[in-house]
Parts: sequence; C-alpha cells; structure tokens
Amino acid sequence: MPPKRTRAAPATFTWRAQEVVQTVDHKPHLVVQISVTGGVFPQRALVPIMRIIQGKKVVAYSWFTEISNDGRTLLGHFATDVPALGAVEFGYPDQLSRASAKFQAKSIKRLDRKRLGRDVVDVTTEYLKRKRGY
Amino acid sequence: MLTLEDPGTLVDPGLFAGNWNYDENVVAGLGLAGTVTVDDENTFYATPGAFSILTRDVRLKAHVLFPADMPGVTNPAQISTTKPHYPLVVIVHGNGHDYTTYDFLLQHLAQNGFIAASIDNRFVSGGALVHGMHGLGRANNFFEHLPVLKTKFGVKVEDNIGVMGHSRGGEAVLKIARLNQQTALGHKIKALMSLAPTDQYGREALQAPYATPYFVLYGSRDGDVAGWYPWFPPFDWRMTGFSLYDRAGDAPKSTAFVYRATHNGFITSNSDNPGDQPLPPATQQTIVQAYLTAFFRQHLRGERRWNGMFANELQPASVAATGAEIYMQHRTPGGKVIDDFQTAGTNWKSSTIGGTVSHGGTLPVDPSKGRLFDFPPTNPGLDTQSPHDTKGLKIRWDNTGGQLGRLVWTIPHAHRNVKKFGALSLRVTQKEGSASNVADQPHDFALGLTDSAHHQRAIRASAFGEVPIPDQRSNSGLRKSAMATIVVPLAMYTIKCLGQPKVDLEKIVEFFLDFSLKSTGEIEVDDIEFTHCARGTEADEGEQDEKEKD
Repeated sequence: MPPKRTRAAPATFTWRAQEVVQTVDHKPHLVVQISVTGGVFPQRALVPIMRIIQGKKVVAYSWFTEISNDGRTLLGHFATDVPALGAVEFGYPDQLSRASAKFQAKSIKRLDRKRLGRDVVDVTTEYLKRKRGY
Repeated sequence: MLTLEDPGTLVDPGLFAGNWNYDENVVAGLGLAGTVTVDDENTFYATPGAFSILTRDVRLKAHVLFPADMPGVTNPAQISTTKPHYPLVVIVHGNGHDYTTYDFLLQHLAQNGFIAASIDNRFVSGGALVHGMHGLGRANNFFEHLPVLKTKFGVKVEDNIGVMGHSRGGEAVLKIARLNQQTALGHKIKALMSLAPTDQYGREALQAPYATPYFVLYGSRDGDVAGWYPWFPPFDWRMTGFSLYDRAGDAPKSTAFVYRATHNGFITSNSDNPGDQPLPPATQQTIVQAYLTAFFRQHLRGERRWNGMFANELQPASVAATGAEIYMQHRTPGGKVIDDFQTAGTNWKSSTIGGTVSHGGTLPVDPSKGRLFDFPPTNPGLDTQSPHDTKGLKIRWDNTGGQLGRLVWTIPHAHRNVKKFGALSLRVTQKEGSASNVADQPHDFALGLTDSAHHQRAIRASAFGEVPIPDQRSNSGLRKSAMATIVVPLAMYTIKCLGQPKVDLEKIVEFFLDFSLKSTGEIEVDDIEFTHCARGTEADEGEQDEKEKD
C-alpha cells in the first residue's frame, strides 16, 4: 500500500521562468530555471524535486532543484526545450504542491544565444536523458 | 555472570573534555586553506555515477572536543598525557542540521579517549552559509578537515578513524569509505556509523575492497527519511538505513531499529514527526550516546566486549532503563550460508548451499522467493511494506486444518560438518498487515536441525530473540516489515535434555523451520546460515582482552 501523501496547506504558489547559465560539471550550462514562490521551503534530508505535469503524466523532471538562501523560493532547473504547457508540481515525496497558474514555455525569459560563450552547453531533454538515463 | 559496563555513562578515569573550535580563519593560521572548493552531486540518483557535479565553496569550521587531564582546557597542546595518542571520531551532520548540536556526543567521546570533531557542512552562497549539500559534498568536505585535525593534534591523533554521519551525512560515510579506497587517500577508516541515513545518492554498497565495520541506528517514526515509495524507476527501493545495511558486506554490520524514534530526536527534537507519539528526545539521545560510544570503543580501541550490544545479547543499563523497544540485525562474514535467496530467478526449491527446499504439502501455498520490495507498482516484490533492498523468502502457514507447517532445507554432503560454527542464524519479520498474523502479538516458530541418524531438535526462536510486531505508526503506508536477527547457539542442539537425542553437528542433513507453535502466520526470512557468532562467546573474549590490556 503506497503511503498516504498530504497536500501542502493551501497557498498561492506562483512561478516564473528564465534561462540562466549554471556551472555544472565544471562547465557553463544553459538551463531553464523555474522559480516558485509563495511559501516556505524547508531543508530536509530528502531532496526536493520539481516537475512538469500534463494531466497525470510527468513530462519533465528538473535536472536539479535548490532552495534559495532565505527558504522562500524553490529553484528548478530544466532542459531548455521544456514542454510547452503543463502544471508545475514540486515538493517532497510526502508533500507535493502545484503552482496555481499553468506553466507556459512561451513565458520563459530567454537569453540571447548570440551573446553566450561558445563553451556554454545547451541542456536539452536529449542531453539530460543521456546524462541521467531517464 | 558478566556485568556489562554502560557505555552511555562510562568515562575513562580522570579524563575531562578539552574544547578547541576552529573556523576558516583559524585554519588559515595553521597555514592551510580555510575555504575550500568541493565537488558535490546535483541531486538524488539511482544508478551509481549517474550524477552531475556542482562545486561548493566550504569554510572549514568544526567543534572539537578531546581528552584532557583537567577541566577548562582549550589548547590541543594540553591534550591528556594519559596515552601517547588517541583515535579520531568525526561527525558529519545532515541537511538543515547544526554541527554544534552534537556537542553532547563529542564531550562523551572525549571522555572516552577520542579526539572528536563535528564538522560544518554548509557551503557559501551569496556570501552566506547555506544548507543543501548532498552526499558527495559532505564526504569530500570530511577529507578537507582531516589535514586540519592532523596538523593541530600532530602525533597525538592516531590514523585510526571512525565516522558517524546523520541523515545525508549518514549516507556520506559510505562514500567516505569508497573514496578513501578508490582515490588511494590511505586514511585508516576503521568504523562507520549511519544515524537515520538517507539512501538516495547512487545506491552505495559498503563492500570489499572498502568494506568497513558498519552500524546503522534508525527510528521507526522517522518523519523525514520515512521510507517513501520511490519517485520513479530506476529507483526501486524505499531508501532508508535498512537498504544500506542490506547492501553492506564483507565486514561486521549491525542495525538497531528503535521503535518510536524520529529523525531529529536522536540529536535535538522530534520536529520531523511530533504528533506520532515519538520517544522523548532525551531517551533517543541516551540510546545514541550508548551505542555510538560502544561502537567506536569496539572498533577503534579494540574492545570486543561491546560486541554483545550489537548482536542483540546485551543492553546497557542506561538504555534498558528507558524501556525503548530496539530490534537488532547483525551479521559477521565467514558463516556457512544455507540460503540467502540471492540466486537468480524465483525458484525457491533450490538453496544457496546447493540443497533442495520443500514443504511436503504442509503449507497452504508455496513460499515465494524474490525481491522483498520492488518497483514500479506493477512489479511490487513480495511485500510493499518491506524496507529491504534484497531478496528473501515469504512463507505463510495455516495449521488450522491439522497439518503442521514445516519447511525443510537439505544440506549437501560436503557441508554437513558444522561443528566449527557457534550458532544458527537468520533474520525474520512478520509481514506487516498480513491477516495470517495475530495483531499485537509477537510471532514464534522453531529452528530445527536433523542429523544423518535422524536425530532432530527444534529450538523456539522466541527463546533467543523476537519476531517483532511491526511498529504501528499513524501513516500505515510507512509501517515496515523490518527484519530482526535471531541467533540460536548450536549448543542448544547438543546439550543433554531428558528424552531428547543430541544432534550430531558433524553430520547435519537438514535444517528446518517448524511452524507448529502458532496456528497461522506469514513471515519473511533471509540470511539463514551457520555463523561463528554465539551468545556469550564474544563477551567472554572481550572481558579477557580488557584484562590483558590492563
């Protein structure tokens, strides 16, 4: 029997998304960073996740998810070809929440590719699949 | 009769705890880098190596307590002169934890003859120290602290190291052992303890060539590392200290499963699960202090008299006085395995030792062999409530029709002489939620041996251990079919007993489980073996060792 999962206390979580360059594997990587605000995100033993859902289907998992220094923002890092539409779901296995507004990739604030260094790795869904095996 | 000293209250005569704390500035004053960069994982992952690297800047900070000959000492140069040098214990805290909250353990360790340090695992972000370090970063941070401690304590610190990690730190201790061997760092890491550990960073397996004596302490009401269902394949285990224990091998290992203990209560408060009737933090802290001290005295000071605590034979007075329910698993290499169910496939009729297994129609259904837990739900394994990451055997019996259940393993000719072993051992659990088990009652069955002259004797499991009732935490999906080890001394099969023939330990032809003691039941078993571990033996040797030392 799967454990009972609780929904977080009602809160209006909002998201915004932008492309950022993050140092991963000692090299610059271009990723989409989805920032969720509207609650407090505790540091726990488990690792928080963020994902994009379409209906009941998970269509994208974050590459990695971090909690901001003040604990008020959850930062999910996705491939730059993140799905166009969905819901942003996040949290821990025992407590999942969703942002109130639907995710739309067209709202992502993109960086000007021409201004990025040649050494910046564009993180795509295919790239992540090769890296992590799913 | 032996009287066990209490490692929870024991201190070396005349020893006090000196205290020297350091930060990045103090470290720089030693001529070492006070801020270092370490590699960390980016997230949790199932497949070993399937992670990306995030780099973290860490300021080296720690609390250090050490043996001293008088109170108030703050300079390591004034370390106790009682001994020429002392073993080192390092504590690696978990995510969101505060490295200074382990002072009560450091103090006790110092008074037990250890240099004991608790290191800060936060990293620098935006100029502030923040949490979020994963397992690899904590392991790499540990290695950055060793030169600091060795520089400051010089010849007074032995290259004889124990590490205790809590939560993510509890998983990091396995990475410490692996990295120490794989990158040829050469530190002599002699003992590892995981307190309420995660198991989410690459399925670490503490085995040769970096096998190390290992101890897991975990609470049944942990509200953080609670044993959740995996998120998605390839995760296919429930990711707690049980799975770390299952995969460890090639060195002695043990687990203490403390009923009603939480994730943080062992060190601070029950903040992770306050509403589920947890043990008071003071009780949990008494338990961790006793077991941690005994474990490191056993492996870093060579005091074998503590073995009994980890083999479910002895409980120190300070722990017994709490009334806490603690169930142990333990295993030492070198046994003769009858069946560990690791052979391929689901054929339960052939055993690891090369014999056959049969119930002769005495069970209502055939036993099931396979992974105790598996994932996804379309492939659930034998028991969705199992915290284990291993294969085992599920057995159900029903004697109500008059047929008494019995499961028999034959012993091949080459393995029939077991006289050199001290005991018969297996680990077992009641299947949580099974309608065949009577609620709120411990279970029982008998472990039997038959020799070539058909002499046989069966010994009740309950005489030497308990098949415990799974703890009934409020979230039923997190209740655990958690195995405990039962050890029956082989002497029980040979002592004179009126009307009972002795069993010839040089000619064993069968091992069997006799289920006639309870009318119905459903259990899971694993690691059936003849072992060198025997009740009382280790304690006797330990006592002798201590006298010789004196």
